[in-house]
Amino acid sequence: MPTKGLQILVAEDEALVRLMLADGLREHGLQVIEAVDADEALSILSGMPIDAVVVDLHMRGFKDGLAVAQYVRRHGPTVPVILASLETPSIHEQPLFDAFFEKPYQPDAIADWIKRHHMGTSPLKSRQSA
Amino acid sequence: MSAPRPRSKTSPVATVLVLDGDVLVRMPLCQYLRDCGYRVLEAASADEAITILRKPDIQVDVALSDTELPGSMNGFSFAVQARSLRRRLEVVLVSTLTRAVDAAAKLCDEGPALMKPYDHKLVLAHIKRLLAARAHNG
Repeated sequence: MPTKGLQILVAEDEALVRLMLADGLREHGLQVIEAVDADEALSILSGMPIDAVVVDLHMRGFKDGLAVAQYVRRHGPTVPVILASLETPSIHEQPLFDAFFEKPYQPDAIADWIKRHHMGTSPLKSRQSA
Repeated sequence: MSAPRPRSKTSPVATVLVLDGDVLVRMPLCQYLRDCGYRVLEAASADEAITILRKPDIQVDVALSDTELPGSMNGFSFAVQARSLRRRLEVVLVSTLTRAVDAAAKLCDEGPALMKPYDHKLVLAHIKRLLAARAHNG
């Protein structure tokens, strides 16, 4: 299954971390959409197809990575959600995520995971087109 | 977390830092500039952009910023601070969506690929569709 051009949403509120992660994923041929918080991520998710989501757990704003993961599970349950965070998710939170990368992580490792696990699942469609 | 992978200061690929507080505007603008051949960095606020500019290893040639930004600094204040950090940085301030897209198109004309990948009016129409859909979805 070709993985080049897959649309990956990255939600990370630390600018330099986001930059490094997005750059690293783009070097693998992935199309990266950057969100600086959960609200931006939800805005993207409701408006366009996304093939995988990489999200931090705690971000500034009222919503966090859990809200993003819960949205994906409701609207596109086959879309992988990758947690990239300093904190390990609790036992209750773990089912929301398909993979966990603890900071500091290597973007290459996340890109490799996405490429290995992309099985041609249907991307999460926007609410309008769903 | 390790530092962002720096690009060489002499990288032939010009880098544009795009500042816009609305992801539905920022994302298509950034994609258009990437399709033009630029390396593009994204910031949602002046604080984020300043954080990037304070890293001397991160090449930034042009900053394209909305005049209205979330947070304590607007585009004008950002321009002053950005130029104090990077004397040779070109800062382009835009006050409307149309001007932002026009500025991106102008950068494409001058850009590394010396060509526009597609009509910039399509970018404007795309952003307007995204904003309208968000308004519709509440």
